[in-house]
Amino acid sequence: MNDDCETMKDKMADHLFDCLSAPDRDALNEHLGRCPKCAEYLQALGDERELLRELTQKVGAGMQARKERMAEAVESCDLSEQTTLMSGFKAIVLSPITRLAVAAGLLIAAGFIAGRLLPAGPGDIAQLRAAMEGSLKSSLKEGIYSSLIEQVNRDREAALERHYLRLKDELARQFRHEMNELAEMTLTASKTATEQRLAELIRLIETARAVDHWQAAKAFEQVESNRFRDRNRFGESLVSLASLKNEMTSDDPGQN
Amino acid sequence: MSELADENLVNASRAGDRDAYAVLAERHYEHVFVTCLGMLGNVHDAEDVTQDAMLRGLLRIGILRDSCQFGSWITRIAKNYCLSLMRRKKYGRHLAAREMTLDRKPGPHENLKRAIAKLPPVSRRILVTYYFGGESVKDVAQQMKLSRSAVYQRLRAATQQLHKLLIERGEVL
Repeated sequence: MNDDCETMKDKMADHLFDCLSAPDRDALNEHLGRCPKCAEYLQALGDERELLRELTQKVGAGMQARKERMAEAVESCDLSEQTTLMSGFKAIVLSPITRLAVAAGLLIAAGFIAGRLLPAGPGDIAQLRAAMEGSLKSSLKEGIYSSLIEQVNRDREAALERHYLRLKDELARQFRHEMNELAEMTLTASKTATEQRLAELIRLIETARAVDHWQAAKAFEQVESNRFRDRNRFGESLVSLASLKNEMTSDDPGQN
Repeated sequence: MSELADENLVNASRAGDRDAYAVLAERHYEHVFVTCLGMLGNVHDAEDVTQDAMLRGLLRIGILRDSCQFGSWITRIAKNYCLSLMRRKKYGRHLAAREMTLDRKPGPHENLKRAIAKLPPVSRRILVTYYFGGESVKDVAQQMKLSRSAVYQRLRAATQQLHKLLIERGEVL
């Protein structure tokens, strides 16, 4: 027997009640094939199970006879002691414990009434208290204890309930508050980022427009310069033409 | 009368109808007997206690509040009788004394009965309830208010304990 056999013992017992899974059954069969001691153990468990079944049948076979014996006993039972609801109530009411409890109650009530009606001096009160203390303690101790325990339990449950509701509200409130803060932070961050992007965009547009203005001015300046140069050239050409005409006129006397 | 419901039989029994109570007692006898056998581990004591419980039920049927609950009520009475017997007589010694009077060479059924009687109460109850209650794990689980897996676990433990007891006593079957 080794650890494997110990594990297999449980599986063998489960196998008897047909609650073994298919893989476990395969493992068990494989183990039984190579472990004669476990095979013997399983055989013994099976024999015991069969014997238990036989015993069950044997005991079950006597069941009818037992029932008949019981029926005879029922038939011959004396019903004069039969308890009804009324007799049960009477038994409770007339029991010595009930009588004692009623007597103690009457005694306490009489003492209480006497104490209320008679003009009691300090000494009387002390005597009455001493006389009643013992009986009150013994008769009321258990009741007081149980009522105290019940009261404490009720208070504890109510306090737990209150704490639970308060804690729930507090958690809900805190959750809402944190969610609001988170939303505000998100909105602020989003707004700042948007503003930064817009400012950057405006700056880029301004820069682009300045560059365009400069380039246009440069172009205008170039056009103006070209125009001025062309006018000068035109003037010079006219001057040259005039001088050339004058020269031609002076060279040709028949023209006059 | 045997086809009447428990409620009607209880009402008739309250009115003093012994036959009605006899039907009622017979109907619940087996369940009560198996419960007692599971607790006591001894057939004779289980029969005595079951009979006492049934007679007690007859005398006190007038105070049964819910007529439909006769089965659980009579089983509770029987369980109280079993507990009382186990406390009063020091049940282990009582069984040992009973064993001494048995045959010196007991058969396999006697050996098995002795081993069952020596099982721990929890194991004995589940084993007896299973075998004497028709070998239905579902019924055992319902009766003992356990899950099916718990019933299987306890049956497994009880089977192994029973085998160990039989081996220890040299009463190999």
